[in-house]
Amino acid sequence: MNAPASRRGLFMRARIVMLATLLGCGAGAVVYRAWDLQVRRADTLRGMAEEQYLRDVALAPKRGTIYDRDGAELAVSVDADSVWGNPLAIKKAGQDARAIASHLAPLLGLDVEVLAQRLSSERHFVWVKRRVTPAQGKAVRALHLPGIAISEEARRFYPNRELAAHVLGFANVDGVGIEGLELALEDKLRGPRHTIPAVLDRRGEIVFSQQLLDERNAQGDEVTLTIDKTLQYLAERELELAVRTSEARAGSLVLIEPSSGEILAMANYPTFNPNEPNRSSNTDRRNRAITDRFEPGSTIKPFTVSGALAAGAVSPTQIIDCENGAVRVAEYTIHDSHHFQLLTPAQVLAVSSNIGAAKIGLALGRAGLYRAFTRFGLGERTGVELPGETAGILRHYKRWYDMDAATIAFGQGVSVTALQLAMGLGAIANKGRLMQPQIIKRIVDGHGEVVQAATPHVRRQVIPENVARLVSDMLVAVTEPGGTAVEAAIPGYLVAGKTGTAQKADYVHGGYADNKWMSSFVGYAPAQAPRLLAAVVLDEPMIAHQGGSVAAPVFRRVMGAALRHLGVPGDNAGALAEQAAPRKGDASKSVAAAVVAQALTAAAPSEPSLAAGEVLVPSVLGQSARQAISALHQAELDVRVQGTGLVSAQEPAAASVAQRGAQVSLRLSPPSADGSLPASTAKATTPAAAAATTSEAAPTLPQPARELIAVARPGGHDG
Amino acid sequence: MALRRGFQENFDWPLFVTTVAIAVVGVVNLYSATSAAGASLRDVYIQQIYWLTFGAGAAVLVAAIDYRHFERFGWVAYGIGVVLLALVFLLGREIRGSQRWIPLGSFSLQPSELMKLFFIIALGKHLHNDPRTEGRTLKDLIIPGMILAGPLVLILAQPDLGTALLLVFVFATVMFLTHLKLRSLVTLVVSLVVSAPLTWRYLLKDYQRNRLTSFLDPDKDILDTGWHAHQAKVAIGSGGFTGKGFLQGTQNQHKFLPDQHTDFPFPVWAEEQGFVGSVILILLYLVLVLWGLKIASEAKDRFGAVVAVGVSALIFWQTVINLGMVCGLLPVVGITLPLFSYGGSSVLTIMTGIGLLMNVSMRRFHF
Repeated sequence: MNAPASRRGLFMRARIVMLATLLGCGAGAVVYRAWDLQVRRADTLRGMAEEQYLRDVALAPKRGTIYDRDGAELAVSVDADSVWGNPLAIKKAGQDARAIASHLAPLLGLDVEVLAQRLSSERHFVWVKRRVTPAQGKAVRALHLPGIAISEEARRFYPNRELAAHVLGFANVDGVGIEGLELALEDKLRGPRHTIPAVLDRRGEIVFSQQLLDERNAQGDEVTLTIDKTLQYLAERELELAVRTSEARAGSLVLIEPSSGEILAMANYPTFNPNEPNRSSNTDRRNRAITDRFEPGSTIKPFTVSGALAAGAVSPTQIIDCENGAVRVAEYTIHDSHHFQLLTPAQVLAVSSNIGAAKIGLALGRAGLYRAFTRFGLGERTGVELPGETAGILRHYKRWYDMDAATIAFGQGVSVTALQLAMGLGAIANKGRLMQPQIIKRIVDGHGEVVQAATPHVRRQVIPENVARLVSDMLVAVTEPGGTAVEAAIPGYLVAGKTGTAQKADYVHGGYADNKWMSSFVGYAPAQAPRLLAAVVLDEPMIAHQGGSVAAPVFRRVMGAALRHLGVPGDNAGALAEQAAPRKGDASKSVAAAVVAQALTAAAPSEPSLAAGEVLVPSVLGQSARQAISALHQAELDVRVQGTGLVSAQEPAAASVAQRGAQVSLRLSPPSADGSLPASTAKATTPAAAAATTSEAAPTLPQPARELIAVARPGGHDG
Repeated sequence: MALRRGFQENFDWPLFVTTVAIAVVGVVNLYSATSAAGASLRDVYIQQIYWLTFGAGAAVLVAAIDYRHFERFGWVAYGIGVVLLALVFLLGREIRGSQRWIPLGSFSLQPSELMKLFFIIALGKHLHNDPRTEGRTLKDLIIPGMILAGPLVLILAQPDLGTALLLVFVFATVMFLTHLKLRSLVTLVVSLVVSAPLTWRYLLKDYQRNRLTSFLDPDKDILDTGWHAHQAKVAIGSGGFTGKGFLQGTQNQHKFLPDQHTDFPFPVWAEEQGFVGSVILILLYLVLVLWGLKIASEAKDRFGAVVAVGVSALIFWQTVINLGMVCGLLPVVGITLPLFSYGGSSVLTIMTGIGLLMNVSMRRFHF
C-alpha cells in the first residue's frame, strides 16, 4: 500500500515538474517574443508606428485680412461649414445612399440624382457641398444622417461686396487668389504653407502638434491698403452714376495723394461682387484703371507744355499762332474745336487748343517730346502692386511719322492708363516729382512684425520745380471761367486740371470713329498745396462726350466730397473770386481770367524763355501775407505788401518773368463777413488786370477765347 | 474557531500578493487603455474595480467553504453550466456574429466562463472517484472525454473557438498528470492530426479560417483581418526596452489599437512599459501559475490536486494564448488576459478560480 502510494507520489511530482517546465517554456516563448519585438526589432516597429501616427501635415493657414487705410475690413476669412460624405461608411452601415441624398439635396439646393450617385461611389470621402450657409450647416447637423459629416473650412468673404472689388480681386473656393491683390499678394496673404510633423489618430485627425499650438505660424500676413473705404465708396458711387447717366460703356476713377503716390480710391464700372465672382463676366472684373489703355487726347497737353517749358522750347509768355482753327502738318490738317489765333501756353491749356499743343510739340521736337512723355511715365508701367497693369503705348520717336510729333503732343497716337495719367499729372502737382503709386500701406505678419511698409518713393524729378509750379498755375485757369472745365471747379478750392475728349480709334474702318469718345478729366486740389488728385475716364459716353461736361462733374463731386472728408483747408482766393464773380458779373474778378490776361499782356512776342537771372513769378493770390512772402522769397523775389488780409492782387502777375530779386507788389484785403472780397479790392488793381477788363486792351486775344473768358460762371453751384 | 485559526495560519500570502499585483496593474493599465477612448469607455476601469471587488468576495466565499463540499456538488454544478450554455441559444443576443451572453438586466452573463470552473470541478470529481495508479487506456478516457465534449460542442456552436480551445488545453493539461498508456497517447495524437483538416473544412466558420490564414501571412491583408495582429505587434515593438511611459503610448492613445481594453490590453502595457514591463508581467503570471502547481502538488487529495492544476492551467493557457496572439505567435482568437482584460464574467471566473486555489492551499494540512 505504501509502495504504490509513494510511486504515485513520485509519478505526480515528476509530472508536475514536467508540466512546470512546459509552462515555463510557454512563458519563455512569450518573453522571447517580447524581446524579439521590443528590443531586437524595436526600431523597425517604432518606425512603423511613427509612420502611422506622425504625418507631415500641410497646414492651411488662415488667409490674411485686407484692411483699408483706417483698419476697416475689406476682405476677411471666415470659417464656413463644408458638408462631406463617406460613401463606404454609408454602404457599410447598410444605409441607402439615395435616401440620404433625397434628404440632403433639397436642403442644399443640389440635384438628388447627382448626389445619390456621388454618395454611392467606392470612396471614403466625397464633398457634398462646400461652404454652405450657417443655416444650411445647422440643418444638416440636425438631420444626423449616417456617413454625412461637416467640417470647417475657411471661406473668403468681402463684407463690402462690390467695394474696391477690382483692387481686391477675389480668391476661389480653395482660398487661392485669382485676381487683384488676392492674386498679387497670394504668397503673403496665404501665409507660410509649411508642413509640420503632426500626430494623427486612426481616422487621420490631428491629435496633437507642438507647432500647431502657435497659431501665429498658421496666419497669413495682414495687409493694409492705402485705399480709404469712404472715398472708395464715394468714387464708385459717383462713377456709376456718371456712367449710367451719360450712357457710357464703362468708366474708371483713380484718386491719389500726389505727395506720396498713395492710391486712396480706384474705382471701375462695370463692377462685380467678389463674393460671387462666377456671376460676373471677365469685362466686369477688369481693373480698367490699369489694364485698359486709351488715347488720352487733351489731358496729355500739360505734359507737352511742361516738357517744352522745362526744355526751354517755349517760354511761358510766348505767343503761339493758332492759325484760326486749322493748320496743315505734313499732309494732314489739324483742327481746333474753336478758332483761336494767338495764345500763350497758359491759354493753350485753358482753351485746350490742339494746334497750340501741336506747335509746342513741334517746337520741342520729336526727341524732346518723347523724352518728356517718358519722363512723365508714359509708355512704362507705373509699378503699382496690382496684377495686369499695361504700359500703354508710346512708340519710340524714331518710329514716329512726320505728323506724330504734332498729334502726340495733343494726345493722339499715344495711349495711357488712367493711373498713368494720374501719376503723370501728380508730378506737376508734386513739384515736378513723379511718384511711385502705392496701393499697399503696410503688411504685417502673424507675429505682428511689419513685413512691408509704404514709403513715398520718388521715381524721378520730371521737370524743375518752378516749371511744375508754373504749369500748375496755368492748369488752374482750366477750371476757372473761360477754361474748358468750369464744371470741375469746387467752391472754396483752387482746382488745377485738364480735360480730355478723344475720339476712339475705329478698328474697323481705320482712323477715328466719329461717335465714340473717351472723355476724361484729371486734376487736383487745392492747387496751391495739392492734397488729392483724381483722374476720371469715361468710355463712350453717349449723352455728351466733352471731358469738361461729362468727366469734370464727376471729378468735382468726388474731389469736393473727398476734400471735405479729409478736412482739407481751402484756397480762399478761389472761393472768394468765384463767389465774387457771379455777383459782379465781371470777368476781371476771375483769377483765372486775370492770370490769362496777365500772361498775355506781359508777353513780349520776341521774348525768349527764361534767361539767366530771370525767374517766373508764382501766383500768390488768395494767400496770407506770410504764405505769399515765403513763396516769393523762395522764388528769389522781393516783396512789398499793402493792406491787411489776403492777397487780392499782385504785380507782376503770376507766371510772368521777372529779374531775380525784382520787387513784387502785393495788395492785401480783408475778407468780408460773407467770405467775399470787398468790391473795391476785388477790382483789378494792376494794369494788366485792368487791361483784361476791356477788349481793346488785349487786341491779340482771339474772339472765341475772349468769349470763353467772359462767360460768367453759372450761378447755382452744387458742392 | 478552527476555520478562523486556519485562515490566519494557512493563508496563502504569495497567491494573494501575486493576484493583487496583477489585478492592480491591470486596473492601472485599463485606465490608460481607455483614457483616449470615448465617453462610453471612460469608466471601464472603475467597473473593473467593482468586478474585482465582487470577484474577491466570491473568492473569499469559495475559499471559506471546504472544497470537498464542491466535490459533492460537482455534477450539479456541471449540469447547471451545461444548461446555461444551452440557454445562450434561447436568450442570448448576437454580438459580432456569435451568441455568448445571456442578458441579465444591465449585466450580461457569459456561461462559457463559468463553465470553465464547473468543468474543472466535474473533471476533478470524476478523477477523484477513479483513483487508479496504473496506466489508462483510451477506454478510460471516454468519461472524461464526454465531460469535455458536452460544453465543448455547445461553446463551439456559439461559436467561440477560443474558449473551446481553452477547455481542450485545460483538459489535456489535467490528463497529462494522469497516467496514460503510450499506445493510447499515440493513437490520440494521430487521430487529432487526421481530424484537423476535416475540422478546417467543415467545422470552422469563415471568419475563423480568415484569422488562421491571416496569422500565417499577417502582412498580406493588414487593413482587414491582419489589422489586429499587426497593430498589436507595432504597439508592443514601438515600446522598446523601457517603454514610452504611462499614458504616453502613441498607438493606444491615437486609437490604432483595436479592442485595447478587452482582448488587447497587453500591447497597451507593453507599449507604455516596454520590455521590462512585459517581462515583469509575464513573470507575475508565471509565478501565479507555478504557485498553483505547487498547491496542486501539495494538495491533500486528488480532487484538490486536479482543481488546482485545472485552475492553474486555465490561467496559464489563457495568459499564453492571449499573449501569444497579441505578439503574433498565435492566431487571433478571442481569449482574455486574466485579471488584465476588462470583463465581468472573466474577472469573476478567475477570482473564483483563485479562491479555489486558496481553498486547496489552505486545507493542504487538514486530514
